[in-house]
Amino acid sequence: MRKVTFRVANSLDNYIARTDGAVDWILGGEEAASAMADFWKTIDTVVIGRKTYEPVLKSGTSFPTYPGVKNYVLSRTLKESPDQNVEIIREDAAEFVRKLKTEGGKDIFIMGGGLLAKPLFEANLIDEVGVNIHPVLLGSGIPLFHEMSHPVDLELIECKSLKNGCVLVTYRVKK
Amino acid sequence: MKTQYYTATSLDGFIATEDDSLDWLFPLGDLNETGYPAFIEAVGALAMGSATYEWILRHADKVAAQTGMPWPYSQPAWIFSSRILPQVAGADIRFVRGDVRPLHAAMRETAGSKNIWIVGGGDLAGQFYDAGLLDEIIVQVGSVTLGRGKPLFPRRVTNPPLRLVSVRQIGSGFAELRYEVPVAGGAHAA
Repeated sequence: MRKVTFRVANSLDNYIARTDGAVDWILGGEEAASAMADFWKTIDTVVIGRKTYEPVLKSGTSFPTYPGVKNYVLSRTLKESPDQNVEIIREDAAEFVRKLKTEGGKDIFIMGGGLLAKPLFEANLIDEVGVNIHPVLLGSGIPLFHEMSHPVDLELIECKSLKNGCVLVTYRVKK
Repeated sequence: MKTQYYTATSLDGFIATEDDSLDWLFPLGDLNETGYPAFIEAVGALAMGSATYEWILRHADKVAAQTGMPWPYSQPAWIFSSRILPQVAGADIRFVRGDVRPLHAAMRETAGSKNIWIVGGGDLAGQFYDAGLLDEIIVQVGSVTLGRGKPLFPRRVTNPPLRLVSVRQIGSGFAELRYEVPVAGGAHAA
């Protein structure tokens, strides 16, 4: 069955953005880009939540797409996307991802955010978590992991430090 | 000669549950396989808040089973609390309150060439940080989420960021991350 990976950047204290949504603290760099490039080769489907997609929509830019990758935005409120590379999905997130997993294809990338990941963790649909822990503490903001119906038990597979001070940690979700 | 905040956190940034339980922590790994034995060897004085102290009091039996005595530290300890707390017999502890700066100076004198350990919680470590007295954060990131609880470090440190010193995987239960805290005056208030 296709593997579902939730992969994001966060602060050491579990925030993916400042309270106002700003991600100005996120560091780039060749190593992170190269790790992402390797990851893209393994997937053909991206699933994102409305709150992650809307800033892209509002900025007037099109969603960054990769050849052969299908992009789904889960939202009950958004109308048709003006972007032909993006399909709006109105059904329940867990049901949709459960169905995707049974279809053929490469792996599935849950790009964010935390509110989309929550029902997917609760339904045990996420197989792997990749977190790019940044060397900052935000003190407050939008959390990566929200409070869930049960704690998420993980198994650390790898941790790798990058030159820019980030740490890439990869976990398998215990089920 | 460093002042270090050494702690364990869940992946979602909590050092304890809301009711100060650490039951989630112990199944993740054996303390002796972490950097703890080497770390504690170099500690000459330690500081903790009342919630941390009371956790040790509540778990005296467990602590005694592991260390042979109800109070696990041989180093002099400063307990920061505005409340009157029971004293552990035979433990080298003093109860203090207020500004961390003069107390840190006393701890420094006691610790000599060894390090000062801020055991927790997050806000006490934050008070040392606010005073420009915190040199390192060493955090064992546990492979679990808690959803809610006591925050790791309720402060903002972004510009300059922390400086990553080392990373170590401890089995499948922990990633040990070691950071130097920037010394830029006032940056944390931004």
